[in-house]
Amino acid sequence: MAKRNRRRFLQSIAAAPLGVACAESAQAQEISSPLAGQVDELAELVNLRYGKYLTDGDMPEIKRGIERMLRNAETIGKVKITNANEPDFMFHPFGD
Amino acid sequence: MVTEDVLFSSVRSLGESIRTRKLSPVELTEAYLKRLEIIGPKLNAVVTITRDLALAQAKAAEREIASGKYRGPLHGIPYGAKDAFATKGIPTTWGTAPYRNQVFDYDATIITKLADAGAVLLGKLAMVELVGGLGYNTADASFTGPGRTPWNPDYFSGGSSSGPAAATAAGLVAFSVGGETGGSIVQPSSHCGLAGMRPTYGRVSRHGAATLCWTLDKVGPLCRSADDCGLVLSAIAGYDRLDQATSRRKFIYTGLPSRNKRFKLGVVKGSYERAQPEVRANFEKSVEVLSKFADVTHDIEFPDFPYGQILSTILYSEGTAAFRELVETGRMREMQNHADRIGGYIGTTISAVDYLQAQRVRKLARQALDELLSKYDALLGPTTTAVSRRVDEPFNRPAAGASRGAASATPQPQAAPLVPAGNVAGVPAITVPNGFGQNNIPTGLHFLGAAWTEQTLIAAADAFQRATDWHQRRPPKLM
Repeated sequence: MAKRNRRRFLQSIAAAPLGVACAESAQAQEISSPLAGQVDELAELVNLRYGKYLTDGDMPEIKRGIERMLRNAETIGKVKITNANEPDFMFHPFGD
Repeated sequence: MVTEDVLFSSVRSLGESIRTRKLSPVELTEAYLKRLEIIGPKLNAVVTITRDLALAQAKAAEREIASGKYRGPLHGIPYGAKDAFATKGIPTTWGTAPYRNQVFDYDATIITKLADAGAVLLGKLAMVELVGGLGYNTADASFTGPGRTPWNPDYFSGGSSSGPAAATAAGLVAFSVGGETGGSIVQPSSHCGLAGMRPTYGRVSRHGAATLCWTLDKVGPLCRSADDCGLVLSAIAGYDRLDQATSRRKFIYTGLPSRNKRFKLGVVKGSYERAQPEVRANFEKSVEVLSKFADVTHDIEFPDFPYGQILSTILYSEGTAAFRELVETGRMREMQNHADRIGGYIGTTISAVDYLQAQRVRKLARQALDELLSKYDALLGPTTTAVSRRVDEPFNRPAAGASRGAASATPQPQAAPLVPAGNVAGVPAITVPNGFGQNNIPTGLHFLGAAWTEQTLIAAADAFQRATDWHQRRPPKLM
Protein backbone atom coordinates (compact mmCIF):
# COMPACT_ATOMS: atom_id res chain seq x y z
CA MET A 1 0.00 0.00 0.00
CA ALA A 2 1.42 3.36 -1.02
CA LYS A 3 1.80 5.87 1.80
CA ARG A 4 0.47 9.30 1.07
CA ASN A 5 1.77 12.76 1.48
CA ARG A 6 0.42 16.09 0.30
CA ARG A 7 2.78 16.40 -2.64
CA ARG A 8 2.05 12.93 -3.89
CA PHE A 9 -1.65 13.53 -3.45
CA LEU A 10 -1.50 16.63 -5.66
CA GLN A 11 0.66 14.76 -8.14
CA SER A 12 -1.84 11.90 -8.22
CA ILE A 13 -4.60 14.24 -9.34
CA ALA A 14 -2.42 15.71 -12.06
CA ALA A 15 -1.05 12.39 -13.23
CA ALA A 16 -4.15 10.21 -13.03
CA PRO A 17 -4.88 7.94 -16.01
CA LEU A 18 -7.14 9.42 -18.63
CA GLY A 19 -10.36 7.71 -17.60
CA VAL A 20 -9.91 8.61 -13.96
CA ALA A 21 -8.70 12.09 -14.80
CA CYS A 22 -11.90 12.74 -16.72
CA ALA A 23 -14.03 11.65 -13.82
CA GLU A 24 -11.93 13.56 -11.34
CA SER A 25 -11.99 16.61 -13.51
CA ALA A 26 -15.77 16.56 -13.39
CA GLN A 27 -15.67 16.09 -9.62
CA ALA A 28 -13.11 18.84 -9.25
CA GLN A 29 -15.55 21.16 -10.95
CA GLU A 30 -18.25 19.97 -8.59
CA ILE A 31 -16.08 20.86 -5.59
CA SER A 32 -15.11 24.28 -6.95
CA SER A 33 -17.88 25.61 -4.71
CA PRO A 34 -17.65 27.89 -1.68
CA LEU A 35 -16.89 24.67 0.19
CA ALA A 36 -13.80 23.83 -1.86
CA GLY A 37 -11.39 25.44 0.59
CA GLN A 38 -12.88 23.62 3.57
CA VAL A 39 -12.88 20.35 1.64
CA ASP A 40 -9.19 20.71 0.83
CA GLU A 41 -8.27 21.56 4.40
CA LEU A 42 -10.27 18.70 5.89
CA ALA A 43 -8.85 16.31 3.32
CA GLU A 44 -5.39 17.42 4.31
CA LEU A 45 -6.27 16.73 7.95
CA VAL A 46 -7.33 13.22 6.97
CA ASN A 47 -4.09 12.86 5.06
CA LEU A 48 -2.00 14.00 8.04
CA ARG A 49 -3.79 11.70 10.47
CA TYR A 50 -4.39 8.65 8.34
CA GLY A 51 -2.34 9.09 5.16
CA LYS A 52 -0.26 6.05 5.99
CA TYR A 53 -3.37 3.91 5.56
CA LEU A 54 -4.57 5.51 2.34
CA THR A 55 -3.65 5.02 -1.29
CA ASP A 56 -3.36 7.60 -4.02
CA GLY A 57 -6.74 6.64 -5.44
CA ASP A 58 -8.62 7.19 -2.17
CA MET A 59 -8.37 10.95 -1.79
CA PRO A 60 -10.67 12.14 -4.59
CA GLU A 61 -13.47 9.98 -3.18
CA ILE A 62 -12.70 11.12 0.37
CA LYS A 63 -12.95 14.72 -0.81
CA ARG A 64 -16.32 14.06 -2.40
CA GLY A 65 -17.48 12.46 0.84
CA ILE A 66 -16.26 15.41 2.90
CA GLU A 67 -18.10 17.76 0.60
CA ARG A 68 -21.31 15.74 1.05
CA MET A 69 -20.97 15.99 4.82
CA LEU A 70 -20.38 19.74 4.65
CA ARG A 71 -23.43 20.15 2.42
CA ASN A 72 -25.45 18.09 4.91
CA ALA A 73 -24.33 20.41 7.70
CA GLU A 74 -25.22 23.46 5.62
CA THR A 75 -28.71 22.12 4.94
CA ILE A 76 -29.28 21.21 8.59
CA GLY A 77 -27.99 24.63 9.59
CA LYS A 78 -30.76 26.30 7.61
CA VAL A 79 -33.44 24.86 9.92
CA LYS A 80 -34.39 27.55 12.41
CA ILE A 81 -33.66 26.58 16.01
CA THR A 82 -33.27 28.60 19.18
CA ASN A 83 -30.81 28.52 22.03
CA ALA A 84 -33.26 26.39 24.01
CA ASN A 85 -33.42 23.53 21.48
CA GLU A 86 -31.67 20.55 23.04
CA PRO A 87 -30.16 17.61 21.15
CA ASP A 88 -32.33 14.52 20.88
CA PHE A 89 -30.64 12.72 23.74
CA MET A 90 -30.40 13.50 27.43
CA PHE A 91 -27.78 12.83 30.05
CA HIS A 92 -29.11 10.84 33.00
CA PRO A 93 -26.99 10.55 36.14
CA PHE A 94 -27.09 7.19 37.85
CA GLY A 95 -29.69 6.90 40.56
CA ASP A 96 -31.94 9.48 38.96
CA MET B 1 -41.34 -35.97 4.29
CA VAL B 2 -41.56 -32.22 4.83
CA THR B 3 -42.89 -30.72 1.63
CA GLU B 4 -42.09 -27.35 0.10
CA ASP B 5 -45.62 -26.26 0.98
CA VAL B 6 -44.75 -26.78 4.62
CA LEU B 7 -41.41 -24.98 4.34
CA PHE B 8 -43.09 -21.90 2.90
CA SER B 9 -45.86 -21.93 5.49
CA SER B 10 -46.34 -19.12 7.95
CA VAL B 11 -44.84 -19.29 11.42
CA ARG B 12 -48.36 -19.38 12.83
CA SER B 13 -49.28 -22.38 10.70
CA LEU B 14 -46.02 -24.22 11.44
CA GLY B 15 -46.45 -23.52 15.13
CA GLU B 16 -49.95 -24.94 15.16
CA SER B 17 -48.79 -28.11 13.37
CA ILE B 18 -45.97 -28.50 15.87
CA ARG B 19 -48.21 -27.85 18.85
CA THR B 20 -50.66 -30.52 17.71
CA ARG B 21 -47.72 -32.85 16.95
CA LYS B 22 -48.60 -33.19 13.27
CA LEU B 23 -45.16 -31.81 12.44
CA SER B 24 -41.86 -32.82 14.01
CA PRO B 25 -39.49 -29.94 14.87
CA VAL B 26 -36.57 -32.27 14.15
CA GLU B 27 -37.81 -33.18 10.68
CA LEU B 28 -38.64 -29.55 9.96
CA THR B 29 -35.17 -28.50 11.09
CA GLU B 30 -33.51 -31.16 8.94
CA ALA B 31 -35.49 -30.00 5.91
CA TYR B 32 -34.58 -26.34 6.39
CA LEU B 33 -30.94 -27.24 7.04
CA LYS B 34 -30.79 -29.11 3.75
CA ARG B 35 -32.16 -26.12 1.86
CA LEU B 36 -29.89 -23.73 3.73
CA GLU B 37 -26.85 -25.84 2.83
CA ILE B 38 -27.76 -26.16 -0.85
CA ILE B 39 -29.53 -22.91 -1.71
CA GLY B 40 -27.92 -20.64 0.87
CA PRO B 41 -24.57 -20.39 -0.94
CA LYS B 42 -26.30 -19.72 -4.28
CA LEU B 43 -27.81 -16.60 -2.74
CA ASN B 44 -24.72 -15.71 -0.64
CA ALA B 45 -27.14 -15.78 2.25
CA VAL B 46 -25.25 -17.80 4.84
CA VAL B 47 -22.13 -17.30 6.94
CA THR B 48 -22.30 -20.17 9.45
CA ILE B 49 -24.75 -23.05 9.64
CA THR B 50 -25.28 -24.14 13.23
CA ARG B 51 -26.34 -27.70 12.43
CA ASP B 52 -25.43 -29.31 15.75
CA LEU B 53 -27.03 -26.57 17.83
CA ALA B 54 -30.13 -26.57 15.63
CA LEU B 55 -30.67 -30.29 15.94
CA ALA B 56 -30.08 -30.19 19.70
CA GLN B 57 -32.62 -27.38 20.09
CA ALA B 58 -35.11 -29.15 17.80
CA LYS B 59 -34.80 -32.41 19.72
CA ALA B 60 -35.25 -30.56 23.01
CA ALA B 61 -38.36 -28.85 21.61
CA GLU B 62 -39.77 -32.16 20.45
CA ARG B 63 -39.19 -33.74 23.86
CA GLU B 64 -40.72 -30.82 25.72
CA ILE B 65 -43.82 -30.64 23.53
CA ALA B 66 -44.31 -34.41 23.82
CA SER B 67 -44.16 -34.06 27.59
CA GLY B 68 -46.81 -31.34 27.53
CA LYS B 69 -44.58 -28.32 28.00
CA TYR B 70 -45.48 -25.99 25.13
CA ARG B 71 -43.72 -22.64 25.17
CA GLY B 72 -45.74 -20.84 22.52
CA PRO B 73 -45.99 -20.23 18.78
CA LEU B 74 -42.22 -20.19 18.18
CA HIS B 75 -41.57 -23.47 19.96
CA GLY B 76 -39.72 -25.74 17.55
CA ILE B 77 -39.66 -23.11 14.77
CA PRO B 78 -36.33 -22.91 12.89
CA TYR B 79 -34.96 -19.43 12.18
CA GLY B 80 -31.85 -17.59 11.05
CA ALA B 81 -30.09 -14.65 12.69
CA LYS B 82 -28.20 -11.88 10.96
CA ASP B 83 -24.51 -12.32 11.69
CA ALA B 84 -24.62 -9.07 13.63
CA PHE B 85 -25.88 -10.86 16.75
CA ALA B 86 -23.49 -12.43 19.23
CA THR B 87 -23.84 -16.18 19.65
CA LYS B 88 -21.83 -17.89 22.33
CA GLY B 89 -19.01 -19.98 20.89
CA ILE B 90 -20.11 -19.45 17.28
CA PRO B 91 -18.33 -16.95 14.99
CA THR B 92 -20.02 -13.56 14.69
CA THR B 93 -18.38 -11.83 11.76
CA TRP B 94 -20.40 -8.63 11.29
CA GLY B 95 -20.04 -9.43 7.57
CA THR B 96 -16.49 -8.22 7.35
CA ALA B 97 -13.00 -9.66 7.11
CA PRO B 98 -11.50 -7.93 10.17
CA TYR B 99 -14.01 -9.76 12.38
CA ARG B 100 -14.09 -13.02 10.48
CA ASN B 101 -12.79 -14.98 13.47
CA GLN B 102 -14.62 -13.04 16.17
CA VAL B 103 -16.27 -15.30 18.76
CA PHE B 104 -18.22 -14.02 21.76
CA ASP B 105 -18.67 -15.86 25.02
CA TYR B 106 -22.27 -14.77 25.41
CA ASP B 107 -25.51 -14.61 23.44
CA ALA B 108 -27.18 -11.42 22.32
CA THR B 109 -30.40 -10.80 24.25
CA ILE B 110 -32.47 -11.47 21.14
CA ILE B 111 -30.81 -14.89 20.74
CA THR B 112 -31.53 -15.72 24.39
CA LYS B 113 -35.14 -14.60 24.08
CA LEU B 114 -35.70 -16.70 20.98
CA ALA B 115 -34.10 -19.72 22.67
CA ASP B 116 -36.39 -19.16 25.65
CA ALA B 117 -39.34 -19.12 23.24
CA GLY B 118 -38.18 -22.51 21.96
CA ALA B 119 -37.05 -21.33 18.52
CA VAL B 120 -34.31 -23.27 16.73
CA LEU B 121 -31.24 -21.40 15.45
CA LEU B 122 -30.32 -22.77 12.02
CA GLY B 123 -27.48 -20.42 11.29
CA LYS B 124 -25.91 -17.02 11.09
CA LEU B 125 -27.00 -15.18 7.97
CA ALA B 126 -25.00 -12.91 5.71
CA MET B 127 -25.00 -9.15 5.93
CA VAL B 128 -23.39 -6.09 4.44
CA GLU B 129 -20.09 -5.42 6.19
CA LEU B 130 -20.24 -3.41 9.43
CA VAL B 131 -24.03 -3.17 9.16
CA GLY B 132 -23.74 -1.18 5.95
CA GLY B 133 -23.13 2.13 7.66
CA LEU B 134 -19.96 3.39 6.10
CA GLY B 135 -21.23 4.19 2.64
CA TYR B 136 -21.11 0.93 0.65
CA ASN B 137 -22.06 1.56 -2.93
CA THR B 138 -22.17 -1.88 -4.53
CA ALA B 139 -23.91 -5.10 -3.55
CA ASP B 140 -20.54 -6.81 -3.22
CA ALA B 141 -19.89 -5.32 0.21
CA SER B 142 -19.48 -8.46 2.28
CA PHE B 143 -16.86 -11.18 2.40
CA THR B 144 -19.64 -13.65 1.61
CA GLY B 145 -20.32 -11.92 -1.72
CA PRO B 146 -23.33 -9.92 -2.86
CA GLY B 147 -26.66 -10.98 -1.36
CA ARG B 148 -28.99 -12.20 -4.11
CA THR B 149 -32.76 -12.03 -4.08
CA PRO B 150 -34.28 -15.46 -4.81
CA TRP B 151 -36.74 -13.82 -7.20
CA ASN B 152 -33.90 -13.07 -9.60
CA PRO B 153 -30.46 -13.98 -8.27
CA ASP B 154 -28.73 -11.55 -10.63
CA TYR B 155 -30.18 -8.80 -8.44
CA PHE B 156 -29.30 -7.56 -4.96
CA SER B 157 -31.33 -8.84 -2.02
CA GLY B 158 -30.85 -5.48 -0.32
CA GLY B 159 -28.89 -4.51 2.73
CA SER B 160 -27.70 -4.63 5.26
CA SER B 161 -29.89 -7.62 6.26
CA SER B 162 -29.11 -9.26 2.91
CA GLY B 163 -28.93 -12.86 4.14
CA PRO B 164 -31.99 -12.81 6.43
CA ALA B 165 -34.13 -11.40 3.62
CA ALA B 166 -32.89 -13.82 0.94
CA ALA B 167 -33.06 -16.86 3.22
CA THR B 168 -36.56 -16.13 4.48
CA ALA B 169 -37.89 -15.41 0.99
CA ALA B 170 -36.32 -18.60 -0.40
CA GLY B 171 -37.85 -20.79 2.29
CA LEU B 172 -34.49 -21.63 3.89
CA VAL B 173 -35.72 -20.55 7.33
CA ALA B 174 -39.18 -19.97 8.76
CA PHE B 175 -38.27 -16.42 9.79
CA SER B 176 -35.22 -14.36 10.51
CA VAL B 177 -34.09 -11.46 12.65
CA GLY B 178 -32.15 -8.45 11.49
CA GLY B 179 -31.38 -4.89 12.41
CA GLU B 180 -32.06 -1.46 10.99
CA THR B 181 -30.29 1.87 11.33
CA GLY B 182 -31.35 3.55 8.10
CA GLY B 183 -33.45 0.98 6.21
CA SER B 184 -31.71 -2.38 6.73
CA ILE B 185 -34.86 -4.36 7.52
CA VAL B 186 -37.52 -2.76 5.36
CA GLN B 187 -35.44 -2.29 2.20
CA PRO B 188 -34.22 -5.91 1.85
CA SER B 189 -37.65 -7.16 2.89
CA SER B 190 -39.11 -5.18 0.01
CA HIS B 191 -36.55 -6.46 -2.51
CA CYS B 192 -37.22 -10.03 -1.43
CA GLY B 193 -41.03 -9.88 -1.19
CA LEU B 194 -41.26 -10.18 2.60
CA ALA B 195 -43.03 -8.65 5.53
CA GLY B 196 -40.37 -6.84 7.51
CA MET B 197 -40.91 -4.84 10.66
CA ARG B 198 -38.76 -2.08 12.08
CA PRO B 199 -39.98 -1.70 15.67
CA THR B 200 -39.98 1.52 17.64
CA TYR B 201 -36.51 2.47 18.90
CA GLY B 202 -36.15 0.84 22.31
CA ARG B 203 -38.79 -1.84 21.72
CA VAL B 204 -36.20 -4.62 21.27
CA SER B 205 -32.88 -4.96 23.08
CA ARG B 206 -29.71 -4.43 21.05
CA HIS B 207 -27.47 -6.01 23.66
CA GLY B 208 -25.03 -8.25 21.80
CA ALA B 209 -25.81 -6.75 18.41
CA ALA B 210 -23.11 -5.04 16.36
CA THR B 211 -23.41 -1.35 17.14
CA LEU B 212 -23.46 1.09 14.29
CA CYS B 213 -25.36 4.02 15.86
CA TRP B 214 -26.40 4.19 19.49
CA THR B 215 -29.26 6.58 18.76
CA LEU B 216 -30.56 4.87 15.60
CA ASP B 217 -30.09 1.08 15.80
CA LYS B 218 -33.20 -1.12 16.01
CA VAL B 219 -33.72 -4.91 15.89
CA GLY B 220 -36.69 -6.60 14.23
CA PRO B 221 -38.18 -9.55 12.36
CA LEU B 222 -38.26 -10.50 8.67
CA CYS B 223 -41.12 -12.88 7.95
CA ARG B 224 -43.46 -14.06 5.22
CA SER B 225 -46.48 -12.32 6.73
CA ALA B 226 -47.35 -9.35 8.90
CA ASP B 227 -49.00 -11.67 11.41
CA ASP B 228 -45.73 -13.61 11.74
CA CYS B 229 -43.91 -10.33 12.42
CA GLY B 230 -46.25 -9.86 15.37
CA LEU B 231 -45.52 -13.33 16.74
CA VAL B 232 -41.76 -12.89 16.47
CA LEU B 233 -41.79 -9.34 17.81
CA SER B 234 -43.80 -10.52 20.78
CA ALA B 235 -41.01 -12.98 21.64
CA ILE B 236 -38.12 -10.53 21.29
CA ALA B 237 -39.58 -7.26 22.62
CA GLY B 238 -39.18 -5.97 26.14
CA TYR B 239 -37.03 -4.21 28.67
CA ASP B 240 -33.45 -5.36 29.04
CA ARG B 241 -31.21 -3.96 31.74
CA LEU B 242 -28.29 -4.55 29.37
CA ASP B 243 -29.67 -2.04 26.85
CA GLN B 244 -30.46 1.30 28.47
CA ALA B 245 -32.58 2.36 25.50
CA THR B 246 -35.15 -0.39 26.02
CA SER B 247 -38.61 0.53 27.20
CA ARG B 248 -40.67 -1.13 29.90
CA ARG B 249 -43.74 -0.97 27.64
CA LYS B 250 -45.13 -4.41 26.92
CA PHE B 251 -45.76 -5.84 23.49
CA ILE B 252 -47.85 -8.97 23.66
CA TYR B 253 -49.18 -10.43 20.45
CA THR B 254 -51.03 -13.66 20.02
CA GLY B 255 -53.19 -12.57 17.13
CA LEU B 256 -55.28 -9.67 16.00
CA PRO B 257 -58.54 -8.84 17.73
CA SER B 258 -61.51 -8.34 15.41
CA ARG B 259 -61.78 -4.74 14.36
CA ASN B 260 -65.01 -2.89 13.72
CA LYS B 261 -63.75 0.50 12.69
CA ARG B 262 -62.04 1.40 9.43
CA PHE B 263 -58.34 2.21 9.38
CA LYS B 264 -57.35 5.81 8.94
CA LEU B 265 -54.49 5.98 6.44
CA GLY B 266 -52.67 8.76 4.66
CA VAL B 267 -50.74 8.80 1.39
CA VAL B 268 -47.64 10.94 1.66
CA LYS B 269 -47.30 13.49 -1.09
CA GLY B 270 -44.07 12.96 -2.99
CA SER B 271 -43.61 9.39 -1.79
CA TYR B 272 -44.47 7.63 -5.05
CA GLU B 273 -44.95 10.12 -7.88
CA ARG B 274 -41.37 9.85 -9.13
CA ALA B 275 -41.03 6.12 -8.54
CA GLN B 276 -40.37 3.57 -11.27
CA PRO B 277 -43.60 3.13 -13.26
CA GLU B 278 -44.20 -0.41 -11.96
CA VAL B 279 -43.58 0.66 -8.36
CA ARG B 280 -45.96 3.56 -8.79
CA ALA B 281 -48.65 1.39 -10.40
CA ASN B 282 -48.37 -1.26 -7.68
CA PHE B 283 -48.65 1.40 -5.01
CA GLU B 284 -51.73 2.95 -6.60
CA LYS B 285 -53.40 -0.47 -6.88
CA SER B 286 -52.52 -1.15 -3.24
CA VAL B 287 -54.20 2.05 -2.13
CA GLU B 288 -57.32 0.96 -4.03
CA VAL B 289 -57.28 -2.33 -2.11
CA LEU B 290 -56.79 -0.52 1.20
CA SER B 291 -59.65 1.84 0.42
CA LYS B 292 -62.07 -1.06 0.82
CA PHE B 293 -61.45 -1.16 4.56
CA ALA B 294 -59.76 2.15 5.26
CA ASP B 295 -60.40 5.84 4.92
CA VAL B 296 -57.46 7.05 2.86
CA THR B 297 -56.47 10.70 2.75
CA HIS B 298 -54.28 11.67 -0.18
CA ASP B 299 -51.54 14.29 -0.62
CA ILE B 300 -50.44 14.38 3.00
CA GLU B 301 -47.74 17.00 3.39
CA PHE B 302 -44.78 15.56 5.23
CA PRO B 303 -43.09 17.87 7.77
CA ASP B 304 -40.34 19.64 5.88
CA PHE B 305 -37.05 18.57 7.45
CA PRO B 306 -33.79 17.35 5.92
CA TYR B 307 -34.25 13.77 7.13
CA GLY B 308 -31.63 12.25 4.84
CA GLN B 309 -29.01 14.77 5.86
CA ILE B 310 -29.78 14.35 9.56
CA LEU B 311 -29.57 10.58 9.22
CA SER B 312 -26.35 10.71 7.25
CA THR B 313 -24.63 13.09 9.69
CA ILE B 314 -25.58 11.03 12.73
CA LEU B 315 -24.86 7.73 11.02
CA TYR B 316 -21.35 8.67 9.84
CA SER B 317 -20.47 10.30 13.18
CA GLU B 318 -21.66 7.50 15.43
CA GLY B 319 -20.61 4.78 12.98
CA THR B 320 -17.09 6.12 12.76
CA ALA B 321 -16.89 6.29 16.54
CA ALA B 322 -18.31 2.77 16.88
CA PHE B 323 -15.68 1.35 14.52
CA ARG B 324 -12.89 3.76 15.48
CA GLU B 325 -10.48 0.92 16.20
CA LEU B 326 -10.57 -0.07 12.52
CA VAL B 327 -10.09 3.55 11.47
CA GLU B 328 -7.14 4.14 13.79
CA THR B 329 -5.36 0.88 13.00
CA GLY B 330 -5.82 1.04 9.25
CA ARG B 331 -7.82 -2.19 9.24
CA MET B 332 -10.50 -0.43 7.20
CA ARG B 333 -8.32 -1.57 4.28
CA GLU B 334 -9.61 -5.09 4.84
CA MET B 335 -13.16 -4.12 3.96
CA GLN B 336 -14.59 -5.53 0.75
CA ASN B 337 -16.15 -2.38 -0.67
CA HIS B 338 -13.97 0.61 -1.53
CA ALA B 339 -16.46 3.15 -0.19
CA ASP B 340 -16.47 1.25 3.12
CA ARG B 341 -12.67 1.36 3.23
CA ILE B 342 -12.69 5.15 3.25
CA GLY B 343 -16.06 5.95 4.85
CA GLY B 344 -14.61 6.00 8.36
CA TYR B 345 -12.01 8.57 7.33
CA ILE B 346 -14.73 10.81 5.93
CA GLY B 347 -16.61 10.40 9.21
CA THR B 348 -13.67 11.74 11.22
CA THR B 349 -14.09 15.14 9.56
CA ILE B 350 -17.62 15.77 10.85
CA SER B 351 -17.38 18.29 13.66
CA ALA B 352 -18.95 17.71 17.07
CA VAL B 353 -20.96 20.88 16.50
CA ASP B 354 -22.41 19.58 13.23
CA TYR B 355 -23.30 16.28 14.91
CA LEU B 356 -25.05 18.11 17.75
CA GLN B 357 -26.87 20.40 15.33
CA ALA B 358 -28.17 17.29 13.56
CA GLN B 359 -29.38 15.91 16.89
CA ARG B 360 -31.04 19.23 17.78
CA VAL B 361 -32.90 19.44 14.47
CA ARG B 362 -33.74 15.75 14.78
CA LYS B 363 -35.77 16.47 17.90
CA LEU B 364 -37.85 19.06 16.07
CA ALA B 365 -38.34 16.70 13.13
CA ARG B 366 -39.41 13.91 15.47
CA GLN B 367 -41.92 16.14 17.24
CA ALA B 368 -43.40 17.37 13.94
CA LEU B 369 -43.65 13.85 12.59
CA ASP B 370 -45.24 12.61 15.81
CA GLU B 371 -47.90 15.31 15.52
CA LEU B 372 -48.71 14.18 11.98
CA LEU B 373 -48.61 10.46 12.77
CA SER B 374 -50.96 10.92 15.73
CA LYS B 375 -53.75 11.76 13.26
CA TYR B 376 -53.49 8.48 11.34
CA ASP B 377 -53.20 4.77 11.94
CA ALA B 378 -50.43 4.78 9.35
CA LEU B 379 -48.90 6.82 6.58
CA LEU B 380 -48.32 5.04 3.29
CA GLY B 381 -45.76 5.04 0.52
CA PRO B 382 -43.72 2.57 -1.50
CA THR B 383 -40.93 1.11 0.63
CA THR B 384 -38.42 1.86 -2.12
CA THR B 385 -39.14 3.90 -5.21
CA ALA B 386 -37.19 1.51 -7.44
CA VAL B 387 -36.61 -2.22 -7.37
CA SER B 388 -33.18 -3.54 -6.49
CA ARG B 389 -30.10 -3.26 -8.70
CA ARG B 390 -28.11 -5.90 -10.51
CA VAL B 391 -25.46 -7.17 -8.12
CA ASP B 392 -22.73 -5.72 -10.37
CA GLU B 393 -24.35 -2.28 -10.76
CA PRO B 394 -23.16 0.61 -8.56
CA PHE B 395 -25.93 2.25 -6.55
CA ASN B 396 -24.95 5.76 -7.53
CA ARG B 397 -26.26 5.32 -11.04
CA PRO B 398 -29.86 6.48 -11.46
CA ALA B 399 -32.31 3.55 -11.42
CA ALA B 400 -34.24 3.11 -14.66
CA GLY B 401 -37.35 5.26 -14.56
CA ALA B 402 -36.87 6.58 -11.03
CA SER B 403 -35.47 9.68 -9.40
CA ARG B 404 -31.77 9.64 -8.65
CA GLY B 405 -30.87 7.74 -5.52
CA ALA B 406 -34.33 6.28 -5.13
CA ALA B 407 -33.16 2.71 -4.64
CA SER B 408 -30.18 3.42 -2.48
CA ALA B 409 -29.96 1.92 0.97
CA THR B 410 -28.59 5.24 2.11
CA PRO B 411 -31.35 7.81 1.94
CA GLN B 412 -30.68 10.68 -0.42
CA PRO B 413 -32.46 13.98 -0.81
CA GLN B 414 -34.70 12.89 -3.66
CA ALA B 415 -35.67 9.54 -2.21
CA ALA B 416 -39.10 8.99 -0.66
CA PRO B 417 -38.92 10.40 2.86
CA LEU B 418 -40.68 7.63 4.79
CA VAL B 419 -37.68 5.41 5.48
CA PRO B 420 -35.13 8.05 6.54
CA ALA B 421 -37.78 10.04 8.43
CA GLY B 422 -39.02 6.97 10.26
CA ASN B 423 -35.50 6.07 11.31
CA VAL B 424 -34.64 9.60 12.39
CA ALA B 425 -37.82 9.68 14.49
CA GLY B 426 -37.36 6.14 15.83
CA VAL B 427 -40.93 5.19 14.91
CA PRO B 428 -42.09 1.78 13.67
CA ALA B 429 -42.82 0.68 10.13
CA ILE B 430 -43.79 -2.48 8.34
CA THR B 431 -43.37 -3.35 4.69
CA VAL B 432 -45.35 -6.04 2.89
CA PRO B 433 -45.11 -7.18 -0.73
CA ASN B 434 -47.51 -5.53 -3.16
CA GLY B 435 -46.50 -6.80 -6.59
CA PHE B 436 -43.53 -7.09 -8.89
CA GLY B 437 -41.47 -4.54 -10.75
CA GLN B 438 -38.75 -4.66 -13.38
CA ASN B 439 -36.91 -7.97 -13.77
CA ASN B 440 -39.41 -9.83 -11.57
CA ILE B 441 -38.20 -8.06 -8.43
CA PRO B 442 -40.87 -7.59 -5.71
CA THR B 443 -42.06 -4.18 -4.64
CA GLY B 444 -43.13 -3.19 -1.14
CA LEU B 445 -45.91 -1.25 0.53
CA HIS B 446 -44.75 0.79 3.52
CA PHE B 447 -46.84 1.54 6.62
CA LEU B 448 -45.31 4.13 8.94
CA GLY B 449 -46.85 4.68 12.37
CA ALA B 450 -46.46 6.63 15.58
CA ALA B 451 -44.16 5.31 18.29
CA TRP B 452 -45.37 2.12 20.01
CA THR B 453 -48.16 1.44 17.47
CA GLU B 454 -46.74 -1.81 16.08
CA GLN B 455 -50.00 -3.63 16.78
CA THR B 456 -51.96 -1.19 14.61
CA LEU B 457 -49.40 -1.36 11.81
CA ILE B 458 -49.49 -5.14 11.87
CA ALA B 459 -53.29 -5.06 11.80
CA ALA B 460 -53.36 -2.75 8.75
CA ALA B 461 -50.70 -4.77 6.93
CA ASP B 462 -52.47 -8.00 7.82
CA ALA B 463 -55.74 -6.65 6.46
CA PHE B 464 -53.94 -5.83 3.20
CA GLN B 465 -52.46 -9.33 3.07
CA ARG B 466 -55.86 -10.91 3.65
CA ALA B 467 -57.10 -9.01 0.61
CA THR B 468 -54.13 -9.91 -1.63
CA ASP B 469 -51.96 -12.93 -2.31
CA TRP B 470 -48.53 -11.40 -3.01
CA HIS B 471 -47.12 -12.89 0.19
CA GLN B 472 -48.16 -16.36 -0.90
CA ARG B 473 -46.16 -16.27 -4.13
CA ARG B 474 -42.93 -18.23 -4.15
CA PRO B 475 -39.68 -17.45 -5.93
CA PRO B 476 -38.50 -19.74 -8.76
CA LYS B 477 -37.14 -23.09 -7.63
CA LEU B 478 -33.43 -23.02 -6.81
CA MET B 479 -32.93 -26.74 -6.17
